[in-house]
Amino acid sequence: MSSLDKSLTSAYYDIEIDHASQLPVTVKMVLLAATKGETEVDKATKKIVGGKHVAFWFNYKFSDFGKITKPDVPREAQRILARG
Amino acid sequence: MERTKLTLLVGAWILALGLGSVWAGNPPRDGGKDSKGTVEGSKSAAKLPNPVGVLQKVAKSLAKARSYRACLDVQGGFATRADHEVTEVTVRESYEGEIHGTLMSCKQPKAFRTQKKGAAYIEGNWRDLLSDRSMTKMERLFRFPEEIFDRALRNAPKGATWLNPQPRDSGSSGASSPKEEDDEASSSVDEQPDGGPATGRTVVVKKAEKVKNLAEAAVALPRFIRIELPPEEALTALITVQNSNCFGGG
Repeated sequence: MSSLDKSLTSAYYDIEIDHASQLPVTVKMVLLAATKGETEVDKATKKIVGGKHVAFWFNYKFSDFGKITKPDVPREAQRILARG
Repeated sequence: MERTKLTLLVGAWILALGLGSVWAGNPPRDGGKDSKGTVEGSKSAAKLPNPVGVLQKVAKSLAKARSYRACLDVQGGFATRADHEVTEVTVRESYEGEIHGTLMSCKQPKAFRTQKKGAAYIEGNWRDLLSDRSMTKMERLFRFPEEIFDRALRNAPKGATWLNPQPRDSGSSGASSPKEEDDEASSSVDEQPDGGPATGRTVVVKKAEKVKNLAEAAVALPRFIRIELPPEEALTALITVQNSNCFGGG
């Protein structure tokens, strides 16, 4: 990934909300980065509009609010989690 | 001869002006309906609540939620188009976690995580999450939802906007039919000549309109908030992803 142009990165979240419960339903995160000499960029907005570029899509879904039972954490795992 | 030409030119110019003004006042083909929709749309857009305030409430509700399930699908690689669809996939992962307070438990890979630490079941033993490469990838890619909302909230004041402020198809389909019915009812009252029963019916229509407006306000609330992150934040996120070793470094 040496060809990454880190001066041209952009990201945004799209958060879907259930207005009735005021809880999130989905979160989409799109992360973009230009590659040197290969990415088309809008000069005015400095946004990636085409050409070869790096793109990462993260799609989170949330559900079962209040329905998850407390997990039973093994003692060894607890010890690791408790370490500073 | 020249006088006739001149008269014709002036005539054509006047005709063109007249047609132009008619079109400007009344756009052709469903113009009335379209412009009404646009006006309604802009009215509802003006009534939209502040996305930052809504996001704060959502983040608070999420923090208060005792438990929930979070599923993540990640796809990354190279894109070549303006829609940023990944055409050359370098990473495709799915994770699922059950969040109970500050603890996340994952079944596959078997792990327990807090925002600071993680323990994973590796080769028959519980070990630090970061001692294994695939676990490190999960740790870097599968962020805690509260962390996501913290970042979103930090950047919301500058970059939060409602997406598609028009009513959603699924939601509006139920609401559109009563709206149409109401429109028809009110128009039928308007068309009737003034008389005794007409006033009573007009009051009914006004009440129906109020109910309709309230219902429309609820339906018209968009469900999506977009938060644009500043380039520095985007770069931080990119470095985190890069540190997950999913860029094909090995």
